Amino acid sequence: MPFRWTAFLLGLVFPGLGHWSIDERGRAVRITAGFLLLWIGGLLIGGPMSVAFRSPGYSTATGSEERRLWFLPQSGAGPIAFATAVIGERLVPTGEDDLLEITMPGESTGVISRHTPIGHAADFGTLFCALAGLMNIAVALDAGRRPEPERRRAGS
Amino acid sequence: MIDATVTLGWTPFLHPMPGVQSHWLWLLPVLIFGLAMMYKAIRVETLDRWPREVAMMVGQVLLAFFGFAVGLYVVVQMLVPLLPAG
Repeated sequence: MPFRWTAFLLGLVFPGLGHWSIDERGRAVRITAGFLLLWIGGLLIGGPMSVAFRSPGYSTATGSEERRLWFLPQSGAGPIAFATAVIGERLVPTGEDDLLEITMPGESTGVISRHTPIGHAADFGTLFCALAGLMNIAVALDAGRRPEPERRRAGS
Repeated sequence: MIDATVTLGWTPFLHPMPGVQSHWLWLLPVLIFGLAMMYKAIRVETLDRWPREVAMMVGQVLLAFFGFAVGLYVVVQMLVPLLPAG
């Protein structure tokens, strides 16, 4: 059976949309519900910095911003991941009262938002969104390769 | 114990959730539940079995974590101290 690229790509555009497009609507709703639980949960736990393009300077060995590898699995969520990262960068409070002076790697002085997630809040916020993105890639692949007879039998 | 003043000052989606550092273990069932919801949505043959399959997967994964925790506890707290020092 040929791979359904349209269903696969729709699944990457929005979680569950690929299954919706092949009349697997019951599965689509459940997929979207699971994804939203993980994604919104991650943002609730870690705040807007759970999904970000770059790691801040204070957290890298060089002391300068670096590409954040965690964004790779998170990008499996498609446009939602990119929109979250862009909006998140703008949401982090950076007013005078929101900044803390910290010692950067190399003992230079830097500033961070006092709302920056640290410890388990940062870990779990990032992890929830990363696993949601990874699962969505598997789900989109399933939408692309789901055989016709199984679709009819499973229904919605 | 979560500080009430910190919780009242929390703005969801803008600030990290307070109290996570000391209560992070409660996030594990939520994480597994979300994963199971997505995974079982594509794995079950008929969707009427989905709730049961999700509940079973959550239970199995939590049980596996508990087993690993017990195993590690036995190794670190009971077996390692028996080893000769030096």
